Amino acid sequence: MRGPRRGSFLRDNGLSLFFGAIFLAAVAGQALTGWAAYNNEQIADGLATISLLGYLTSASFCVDVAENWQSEYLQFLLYVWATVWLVQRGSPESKEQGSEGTESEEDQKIGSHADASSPAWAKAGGPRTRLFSNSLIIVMGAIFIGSWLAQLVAGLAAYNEEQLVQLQDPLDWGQYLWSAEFWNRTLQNWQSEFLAVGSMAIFAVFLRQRGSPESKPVGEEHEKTGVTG
Amino acid sequence: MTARFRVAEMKSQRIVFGLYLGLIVAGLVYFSTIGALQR
Repeated sequence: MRGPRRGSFLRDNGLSLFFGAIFLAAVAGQALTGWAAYNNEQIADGLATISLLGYLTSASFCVDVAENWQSEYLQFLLYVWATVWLVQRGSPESKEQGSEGTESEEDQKIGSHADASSPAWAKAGGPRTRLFSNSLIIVMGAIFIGSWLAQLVAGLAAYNEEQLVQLQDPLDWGQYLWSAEFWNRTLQNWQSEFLAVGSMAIFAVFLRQRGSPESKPVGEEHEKTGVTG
Repeated sequence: MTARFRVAEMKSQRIVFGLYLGLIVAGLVYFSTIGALQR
């Protein structure tokens, strides 16, 4: 069996760097096309166009980015949390039936069950171990809340800019929080994330991708749960 | 593998971890401050 090959920064971090690079490319594309679309609307409304820098610092751009961020982080947050407590028989992403919950300290290598190579906070016990035991959900949750708040403040500013152009009354915080606009922006993102996650959980029972750890090995039986290839 | 060697081994992953976290925090601060400004 070949051991892991190490040493190259690019190779060691290929997955993170690849997604980081396509994120930057996509956000640049969003900025350019969003700027063009914004100016087309300005022209159609008989208003002045804005510079790229003006668009990048606009509430309109900020709310568009933030509303997508919050839904993605909610998706992963819920997936991490739900897979602790719920199982999908036959899914590589699921635990076996019977192991629902946070599992024993021995299973999780916590406190006296930690081994020499365990992270220090897994060995420490007490509040540090409790914090570290939930650190993934805490960080993903903080990013979700942060980006939802950013969507709220930027969305309010963008909405009010439009209201003022149309000589309508601007909304305050409370009004915007319960507005159809805010919840429409939010739910149109959530619905697609939930569909994708739910379908992935069940598709991976019967479908395979050779070589992917998100899939079971091609020849593995459909019945088998929690095995990755 | 010694513990010290293992820490050195994970150094590049820690850099990428920090880059992502920094990018996200910077983005959130930017969107919630600049984005809140009304023209």
